Amino acid sequence: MNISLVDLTWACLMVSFTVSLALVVWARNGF
Amino acid sequence: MSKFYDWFQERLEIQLIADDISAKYVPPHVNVFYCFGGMTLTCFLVQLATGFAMTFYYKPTTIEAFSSIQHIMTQVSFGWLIRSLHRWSASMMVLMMILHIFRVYLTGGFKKPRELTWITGVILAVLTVSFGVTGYSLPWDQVGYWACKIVTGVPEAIPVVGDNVVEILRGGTGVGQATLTRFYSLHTLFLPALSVIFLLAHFLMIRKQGISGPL
Repeated sequence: MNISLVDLTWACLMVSFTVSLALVVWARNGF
Repeated sequence: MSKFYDWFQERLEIQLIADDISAKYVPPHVNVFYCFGGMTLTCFLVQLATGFAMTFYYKPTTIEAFSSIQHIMTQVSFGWLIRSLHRWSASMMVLMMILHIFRVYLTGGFKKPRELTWITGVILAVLTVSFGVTGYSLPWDQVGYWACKIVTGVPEAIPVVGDNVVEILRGGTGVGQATLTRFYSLHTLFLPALSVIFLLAHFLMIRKQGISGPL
């Protein structure tokens, strides 16, 4: 399996989305 | 305070910005209906984030557009989630915007001295609908293609210049690659840039004048 730059950048985007969503939930005392 | 904060404070007086943000109080007449504008903005931010993400895999050509979306929905990690969020948030943005317009109209929020805020809002409403029209055709499926054909054909009814307007919209006499390219360019660059400018004007005027008064 080849990992391209697009896949890597996409992975970074998904991680940043997840982290920001988690931060919002955390800031609003969701968990 | 930290060295980091001091460094910026010394140069840019960032404390003034923080004071300005935290010094505004919410007047007692403000109720939940005043949330719709903020919810529209939230939807817009979701659109910006998910839309940017999809530019990684979407291909704006008549041959590859539909298959690239099938690829996003079935192969790309969380691609189905990103595109579904984009689609649902688009509908929610229009809904929240309509409710926001109702609230502003019914509470008289458009009256002097807030006419310019209302006018930038009307422009933002037109931009939002244009986002909808251009985005709807990007998958280049049957419904998107025919919607594009019908919508770009509407100005034909205008006397004298109608045919020229249609040709400018389509990038030719018929609907094809040039039309899809135009829609993609409008949807991902032109409309977002204009929206950011008018959003900034909309918000700065609200900050300057404060929230509209009670009935």
